[in-house]
Amino acid sequence: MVERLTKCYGRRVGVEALSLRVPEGTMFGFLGPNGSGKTTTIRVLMGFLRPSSGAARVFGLDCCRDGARIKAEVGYLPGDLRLYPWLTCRKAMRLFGRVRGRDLTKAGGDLAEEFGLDPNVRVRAMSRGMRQKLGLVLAFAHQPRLLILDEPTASLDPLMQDKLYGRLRAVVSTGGTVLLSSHTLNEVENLCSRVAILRNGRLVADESLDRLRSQARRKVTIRWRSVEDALRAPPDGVDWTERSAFHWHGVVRSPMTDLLRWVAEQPIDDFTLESPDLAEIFRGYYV
Amino acid sequence: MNLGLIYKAVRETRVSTLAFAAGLFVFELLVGIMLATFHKEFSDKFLPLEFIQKIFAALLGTEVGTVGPAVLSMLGWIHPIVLALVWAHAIVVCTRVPAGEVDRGTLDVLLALPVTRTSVYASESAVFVCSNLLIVGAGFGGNVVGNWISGLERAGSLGQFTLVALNLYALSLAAGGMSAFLSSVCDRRGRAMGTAFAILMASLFLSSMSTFNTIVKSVSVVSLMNYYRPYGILQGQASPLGDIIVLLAIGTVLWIIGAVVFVRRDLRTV
Repeated sequence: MVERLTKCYGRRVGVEALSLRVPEGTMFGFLGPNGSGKTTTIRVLMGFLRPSSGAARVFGLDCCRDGARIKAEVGYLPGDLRLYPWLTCRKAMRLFGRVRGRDLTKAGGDLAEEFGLDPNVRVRAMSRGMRQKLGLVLAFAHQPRLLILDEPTASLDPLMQDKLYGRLRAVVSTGGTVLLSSHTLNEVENLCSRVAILRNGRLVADESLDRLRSQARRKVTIRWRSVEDALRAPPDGVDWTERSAFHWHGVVRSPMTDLLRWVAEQPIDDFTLESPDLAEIFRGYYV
Repeated sequence: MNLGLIYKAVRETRVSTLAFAAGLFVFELLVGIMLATFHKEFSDKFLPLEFIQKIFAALLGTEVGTVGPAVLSMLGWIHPIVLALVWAHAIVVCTRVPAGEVDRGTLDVLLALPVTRTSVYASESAVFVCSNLLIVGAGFGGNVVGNWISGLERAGSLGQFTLVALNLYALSLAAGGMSAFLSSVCDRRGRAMGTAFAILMASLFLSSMSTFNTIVKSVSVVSLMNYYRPYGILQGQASPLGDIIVLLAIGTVLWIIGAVVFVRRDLRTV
């Protein structure tokens, strides 16, 4: 999708030598702190920005040259959504349908009903959440092959977030692709099968979530039967963060087998190994 | 061009277009009617005064000699209110894309649609060309009706007045082409509008002063107003076709440069 993409704003680098491929039919999480280059990448993909070097392609087409053809099959929700104040959902469907050359009234009406959006309220009278819903309706209405969503759940209540998640899963189950940029790591973890993590405009990870988890270090907790038991010498291969009278907490750094063998011979009450969540993996790249 | 985008542009500009058109129609109508009421008194008392002649010379951008009915009837075409209305419409409509869209943050939504930037630019421009025709047409209509009500003898034929109106239309298209260019190079609509307004004011100033100063006269060729000469058309001194071609050429060149800049530049909401 993007190959050695670099985008500079004068002297400042937005993204640098970024290579990334979003497989079709997947939900792809795009993570990174503010200013890491996520929005820049999305804007290049949408053809708003021109790459300083490298290439950006969607469906095999060049994002600058073939922008109009690409966007016929892309649904986009910007991170900072602004809509025309006079627009209502109904008018938006008529207008965007005219531009796209197809009737979107039925699909838009169904989506508005699903998201609980009054189709006759003008944008200027809408709350932020309602505007976000309208933005989602506009992104989904033409049943795009690719959805590019920048912070889609911002301003949505939990019920609406669940509805959106259901919609996104339905899109992927029918062969659609979703590029989801989000700060809400839980939602990326629950929805995405693959994630890319950016830092300072550079790609620091592009893996399936399972593989990221397997690469991440696991947390270990041991609860001893007695205080005396807890005084014994710790095994190698674990960074112990806390060793109190009854509890030891640490992070496993060497192969698990050595630790498991050692634990099997110890007088312990409980032993826990925790799989790291995405938030911890994410933080691991930034600490 | 895209019909949906044309519909959107019409939807967003129709109120201002109708207001400008109505304003120009009413103004031209009132000028016609008022001229009939004070024409005699004005001709006797004020027209012989030298400073009145200088004011008209400045407004018309040319030496008028003795101010007669022909000069007076030009008031409806050279009055600053008329120029302000026509230019304001050109500036307002032609700075909508991209500067206006960038400014209000809606550009992302617009450019996410499956249309080329050229199509966006052309659709907006098409709406401007038609709406501006409506405005100048309303002014022309007001002028004709005003003259008809007042019963004043016309200083020229209807054909000559049509040429004056076409000259004004070409002037406003040039102002529109310049505004579209400024809109393409600016991220702020206010900046684009302010610059366009300043250039048009400078143009008016140059043209007005050119009758009094030879140095100003030599540089006034760069002024758009140098090619708007309603008095010359009525007197048969100016070639309206040449002026119209120059104005259209200026507008078209600036419009094309604006289109190239818009198509090639990075666009971000600010």
